[in-house]
Amino acid sequence: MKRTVNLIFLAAAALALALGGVLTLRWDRAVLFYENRMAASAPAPSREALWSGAYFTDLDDFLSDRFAGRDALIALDTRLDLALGRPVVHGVALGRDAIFPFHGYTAWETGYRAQYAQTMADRLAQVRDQAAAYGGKFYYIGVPEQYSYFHDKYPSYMDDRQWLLSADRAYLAAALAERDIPFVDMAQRFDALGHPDALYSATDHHYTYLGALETYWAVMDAVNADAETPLPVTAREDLTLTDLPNPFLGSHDRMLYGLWPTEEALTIGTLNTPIPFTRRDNGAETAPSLYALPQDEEETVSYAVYMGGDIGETVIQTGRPDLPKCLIWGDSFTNALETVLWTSFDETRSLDFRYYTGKTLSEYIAAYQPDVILCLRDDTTYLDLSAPNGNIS
Amino acid sequence: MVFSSILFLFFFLPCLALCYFLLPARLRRGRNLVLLGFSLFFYACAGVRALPLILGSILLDYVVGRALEVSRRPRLWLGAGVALHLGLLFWFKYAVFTLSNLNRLGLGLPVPAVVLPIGISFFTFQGMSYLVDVYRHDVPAERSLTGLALYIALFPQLIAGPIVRYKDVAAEISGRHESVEEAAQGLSRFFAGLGKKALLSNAMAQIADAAFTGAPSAALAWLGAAAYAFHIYFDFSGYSDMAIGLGRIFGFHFLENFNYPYLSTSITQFWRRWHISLSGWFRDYLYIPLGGSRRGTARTVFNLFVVWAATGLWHGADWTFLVWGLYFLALLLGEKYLWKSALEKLPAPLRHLYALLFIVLGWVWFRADSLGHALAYFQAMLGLGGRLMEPQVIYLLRQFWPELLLAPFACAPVLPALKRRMGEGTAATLVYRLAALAVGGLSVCRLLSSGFDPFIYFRF
Repeated sequence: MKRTVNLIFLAAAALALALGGVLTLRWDRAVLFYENRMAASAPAPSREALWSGAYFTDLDDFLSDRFAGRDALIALDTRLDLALGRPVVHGVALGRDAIFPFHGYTAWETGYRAQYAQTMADRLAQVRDQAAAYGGKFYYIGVPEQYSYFHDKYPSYMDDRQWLLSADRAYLAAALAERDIPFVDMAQRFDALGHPDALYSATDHHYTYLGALETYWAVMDAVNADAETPLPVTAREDLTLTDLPNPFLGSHDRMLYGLWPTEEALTIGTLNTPIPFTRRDNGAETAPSLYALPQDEEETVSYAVYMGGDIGETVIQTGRPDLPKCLIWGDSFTNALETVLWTSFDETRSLDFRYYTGKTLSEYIAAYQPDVILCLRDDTTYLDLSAPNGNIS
Repeated sequence: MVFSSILFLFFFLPCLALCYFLLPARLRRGRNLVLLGFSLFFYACAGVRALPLILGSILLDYVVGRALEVSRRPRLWLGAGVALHLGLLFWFKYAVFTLSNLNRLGLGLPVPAVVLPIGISFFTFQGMSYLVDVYRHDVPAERSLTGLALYIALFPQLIAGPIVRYKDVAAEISGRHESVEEAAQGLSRFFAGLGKKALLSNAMAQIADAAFTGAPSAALAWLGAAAYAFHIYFDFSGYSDMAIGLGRIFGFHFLENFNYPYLSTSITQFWRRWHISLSGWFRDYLYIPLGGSRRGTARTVFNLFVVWAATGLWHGADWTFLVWGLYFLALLLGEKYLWKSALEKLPAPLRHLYALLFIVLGWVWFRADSLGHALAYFQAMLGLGGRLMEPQVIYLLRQFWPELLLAPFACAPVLPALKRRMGEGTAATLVYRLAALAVGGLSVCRLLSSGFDPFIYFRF
């Protein structure tokens, strides 16, 4: 009987090991779902790689990424870690009612970043000057990133990086003030509103639709304060807000898609009185829609619903020539804002220099001459001089 | 390729088992050739460049071994064989260290770019022990080149030990017996070792790395030192478990390399329980030939100095390893000549505490990047680093509480006690095997999720 148990054990183990190998060889995928990265590609055997051993190291990475059932096993491991109550799971810090990046415990002096702020402000001053030369206005809009907004929700023993972000914010605010560049600091605005949780996502690194709406109203307050004729502003009562019933997975940066328990839903706003518009993405005519909605209620959704995600250039035209033209550039925080910003302008153009390569910003401004120019950055990128949307010229 | 890799677990091992067990047991030579072929492939996976070295080492042992039996001047052959082994080891492992230190004296010698071949310390020591055993007529020289090659290159113990003596496996090379019972036990042992590595060692490594990187507070320094003690034990004993388990699957019985070292009540006892194959090697092939303790106190101290300096440097060409070896020499001499009787009078828990304290402190020398780093670390442990506590300690305790809770039990003979209680019946066997499968499955989950983490002893 004992021999039978041992035989069954050996057979089960052999089957699992052999089947794991065979299925892995038949498995083919490019993206690892829970890890938010591309799977390693098959290494090419070369004399040098075999000689040094690099070939088999790369081969193991390749097989590991293609391992049959990898996603299911990683989900199992993640669920186990969640059940054990670990504060960091799969590289994500579990805060109070929200999840964040885990920063470790490395700190450094921030003094050198004052110079970064001067450089960034010099670049922005050139945009301001270029706009002013033909009568346009430039505004810099700063929004907190999710982990910055919810920094008080980090476990008290974890680094929330406020020592860095608050220093960056102060350096940039001072540098912009020295140059008289209008700075719409949404951190202050959100604080004035009582810092409500509803403005930011618990599982995504962006603000929610409500956060984007507040940003829109703050931008329009600043623009209308300078305008001879106030521009129309879409109010809360002009919109119907709908929570999508689809599971919201949160940000790819927070790699716990659907594993961290949350009831969070993605909200979209639709105008009660529609304004006709046309839309072009990267020069091509597209359907006049503001949201990339799912096919059914089962499909998962993400922040990419807003404007269909990150796109190099988007142009929305409303055919209202009495209203001014607007240009906004920045990272993905612009997407949710754009779904309502366009309602105040005749034409709204959005650039994301991570994807747009047609012209430099100054060439684009020179050709288009927008009346209002907006730069929207989150506070983790304020002083990122090398990021495509920060390294402007 | 490491035992905890997907390549090994799901491709190499099933392919080897299939090729090996498809051959009838009576074709022993055929099975040995399969095992040898796979072992050399296993070694070549770390880089084909090292293959000529191990093949040369095997050939050296074969030729010298045969010559030792027929030559009228066996001492000369032994001297030549050992010198060649040590020469290769010196070149690959110690040349850069030696020349770099000589250059500190202003000599300006060229320092070659030497890449350390994986496992060289292990197969060199196995080769030397074989030659000495043949010279001493403890064993006859191996007639078959395949047999000797299998002894030197057998993949379970090839790159991180245990250091197997030829006399312990000579009979099994030509006439072992594989069985279902042995294979099941071997595979269970392998999964247990994999669990030590994947579930415990890697977690402890993260705590230790946090402490040994930067300037830790006193609390973090102590936590890190304790975690490193767990890390190195689970890492190395886990590897030994896997090697012993793999050996059993293919009919080999390697001697145990660890015997619950952290249960020791003295440093002397610790070294009888830790890396047994290495301390036994130094005892039999260095300490005793030097005269052991038979030539008076001064000579004994000198012999021990040589052994412990060699033990330290065997682990790596760095001053930290040398100091680590000499640190244990000082403690062993203290126990032998100074506080032996006082120690014996202490209650067992206090003796255990004494041993653990000095073992953990010893690992600081071993883990530190330099002597300066080690001294700064000791300062931090004493609270002289400026901080007693830091938030990271709370994070590490909360993050790794399951492993920290489990680790002390995994260092103690809990499983043997359970086995004694449960017996060897069918139901007990079923429980052991199911537990082994669960540990193996969990380990694969963890390895996929956390990525590759090399074994510490690979660099030796």
